[in-house]
Amino acid sequence: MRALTIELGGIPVALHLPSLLAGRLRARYRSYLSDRPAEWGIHYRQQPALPRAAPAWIRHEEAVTHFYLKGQRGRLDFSQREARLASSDLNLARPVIERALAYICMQELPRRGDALLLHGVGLVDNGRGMVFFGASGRGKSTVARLARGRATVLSDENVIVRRQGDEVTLVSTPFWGLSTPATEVRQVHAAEVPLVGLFSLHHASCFTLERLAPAAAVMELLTSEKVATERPSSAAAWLAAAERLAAALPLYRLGFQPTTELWRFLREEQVYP
Amino acid sequence: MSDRTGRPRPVQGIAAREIGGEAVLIDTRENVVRLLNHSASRIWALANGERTEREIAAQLALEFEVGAQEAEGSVRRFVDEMVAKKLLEWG
Repeated sequence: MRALTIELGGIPVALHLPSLLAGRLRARYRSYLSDRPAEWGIHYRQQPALPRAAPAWIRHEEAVTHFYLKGQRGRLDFSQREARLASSDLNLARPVIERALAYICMQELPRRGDALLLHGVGLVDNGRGMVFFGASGRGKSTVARLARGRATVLSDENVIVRRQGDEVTLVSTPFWGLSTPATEVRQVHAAEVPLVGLFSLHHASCFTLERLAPAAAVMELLTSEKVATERPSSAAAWLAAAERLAAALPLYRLGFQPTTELWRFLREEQVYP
Repeated sequence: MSDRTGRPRPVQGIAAREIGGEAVLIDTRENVVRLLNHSASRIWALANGERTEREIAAQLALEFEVGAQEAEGSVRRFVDEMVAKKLLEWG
């Protein structure tokens, strides 16, 4: 076993992995490697006997969450800050590890400060960021595709939005959609840039943009699918962080069509960086 | 069933926050989210287990400048709906 520590949104996490897997993930996560003392530990092992076709489930007991999904199993202990993960074969190691990392970020970031993990695509142009978010099927992959050659795509799956003082920043993550070409993933490094706005994606027959009032903005953020709502204390921390972010940054409901006219529309609306 | 002399309060498992005068509720048991309008949000805030329906209605009448009867009707309907949805309970 070998350990490597990566840092996500300010949380250093030690990954304890079989040597072959550690080498692969060290390369993939190279711009997220950290020498800070780990605050979380994730232990992974291959478990060939795990079934691949059983129904998925998730269960919460006090500070511990257990889950199973398609040959992946995990136990995350939020009091000990330790996760035990397994998958039936090594090809499922990265999915189960990233699932756990995202869950840790989802739970921990709102408690540590004004930060949230969003199910969204993060773009950077002219040194400033935009986040387009929404549940599966709302157009994140489409926006990432439309942005290629125009803006840097920091991630097309999960991003972190963080408030520090008066500034809200977009923080990249190493989480990418399963269908994202490896060439796209390798081009991107860890980054944190000032954020100009959050855009909740909605397919529409024409381009529309509506700036939302704070409560409506928080309701839109609740559709991001990355919300810690299974425990009342987590949900309260999430709401508090979401309220402060929504107060510090414009959040828009964006009706869009899947064409590059999107960028012209955002420029005309004066919300493009 | 209450004789309506109790003091309504949120059930355990609800996370709530008032944002810009509107309450966002997350029911962590069912993973359901609700957004209350301004007057409902105010009733929700007052229904904290320390006031009877009548006391909540009196406060609401004062703040929203409506008659006592109208306020009592609004509070009763809201509490009934929230109790039916298992978001409030009688204390």
